[in-house]
Amino acid sequence: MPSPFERDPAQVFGAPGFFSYMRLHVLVVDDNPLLAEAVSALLETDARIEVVGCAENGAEAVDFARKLVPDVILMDIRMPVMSGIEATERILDWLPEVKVLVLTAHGSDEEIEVAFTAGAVGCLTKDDLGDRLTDMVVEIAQPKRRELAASFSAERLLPT
Amino acid sequence: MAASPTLAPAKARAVESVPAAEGARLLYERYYDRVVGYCLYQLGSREEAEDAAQTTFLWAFRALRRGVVPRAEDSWLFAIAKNACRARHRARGRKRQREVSSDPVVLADISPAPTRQHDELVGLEDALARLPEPQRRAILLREWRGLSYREIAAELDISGAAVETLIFRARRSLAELLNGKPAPKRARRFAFDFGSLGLALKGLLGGTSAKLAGGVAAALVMSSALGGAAEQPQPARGPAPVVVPSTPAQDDLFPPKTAPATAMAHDENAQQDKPKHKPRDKATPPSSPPGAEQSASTGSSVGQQVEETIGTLPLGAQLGETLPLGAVTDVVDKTLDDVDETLDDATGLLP
Repeated sequence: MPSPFERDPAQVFGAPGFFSYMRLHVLVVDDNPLLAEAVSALLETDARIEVVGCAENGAEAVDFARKLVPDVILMDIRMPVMSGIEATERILDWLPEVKVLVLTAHGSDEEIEVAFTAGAVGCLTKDDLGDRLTDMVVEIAQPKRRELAASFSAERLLPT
Repeated sequence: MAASPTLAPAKARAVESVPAAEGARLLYERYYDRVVGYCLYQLGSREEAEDAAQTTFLWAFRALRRGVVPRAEDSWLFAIAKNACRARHRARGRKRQREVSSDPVVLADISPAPTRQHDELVGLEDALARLPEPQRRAILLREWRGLSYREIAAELDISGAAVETLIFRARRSLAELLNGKPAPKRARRFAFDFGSLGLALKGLLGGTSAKLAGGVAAALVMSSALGGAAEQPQPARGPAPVVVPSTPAQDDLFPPKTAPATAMAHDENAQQDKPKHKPRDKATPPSSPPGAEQSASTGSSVGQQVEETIGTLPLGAQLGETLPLGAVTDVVDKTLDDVDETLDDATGLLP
């Protein structure tokens, strides 16, 4: 039986339920269920990422974010009930550490600027979801990963 | 997080109460991520985004030191970031221009036929100056600024068809002026390439053989289209919608759907004289017998597409570097002859 350290780290950390707390928890918010599903599937292909929930509108997103405390939120801007921008503001009031990545189909420049002003740290057009989504999510959450790396430093993992 | 009690979650807390240096630090800590994200969205590349973000904060700090007190620090900062990104865009454009035009050695390397093109370039300015104003504007917009036909139509406030005509005429006139004589019927098709000198200089064309390949395919398109219309009533022969390799030269040969009709109309005027062939001038003398055509195995994509198109013609498997150009020009001659015939027939059918 090989020890976990001899195996491919992606296999070890990517296994369901294993070290789940070391993966990035992502909340997907989009009123189009098909797109939400697609984005989740795309994210789940990356071993560093775990999708913890999908919300259909801003209000639900605020609710879910409080309960799930994700690391990253993928937020559509135009949604019924509550827009992504308002939801972003409310969520960041409550959880200032969350990174919000805005998804936009064909956002106008003003809309994007408002989103950034509201606290988003990144913006991704739906056209280049396939190419850049996972990288961008991980990149945005860098500080969080650094914290994790620090807390799981070598001497704690490997007893001398 | 090194959280001083004043710094935590709240957004848009004004920094006017703190000294400039402290305000700058707060701004940086609070907004760096978002500004980088914004620049990344605007610029598309991580390095450039980080550069632009640095510029943004530099400008912001300078402003703060000058005593500027932003009313809403976040939108103020994003406005600066927007300007920084624009400046970067402009710098990027300038850099690209310089890279294209400056280095003569690189230019010589990437030009398909340096000496010839040099000769042609000498007269280019004169030739351009002698073009009628609308033609000159259209051709310059197309070749120099690289606008699409639709953009040119918008710029000159004329219809798309008018743009096509203007550019067609401009290319023909340029070719005539550069050759010092009216472009003969055959030479004219290759004279389209003179119109794309700018493109050629940018190294967008692979080489002379690629142009010839484009020419062959284009000639085939015409001959099959026109031949189908004029001569062969039963159209079910071969793959009718021919796949044309999309080299830049190709775009220039037949940019819009209506181009063949225009070409036809103009060919009517210059039927009589058929002097020497342009392709012969460009081609290097055939260095190996035509049998070498069969030895091909690593066909270029252009060659493959042309081959698929041609099917029955005795063209070898590749039109890349190793195929003797003499063989290509033979095929070109043959197909051009076909085109001539079908054109004659087609123009005979015109009312």
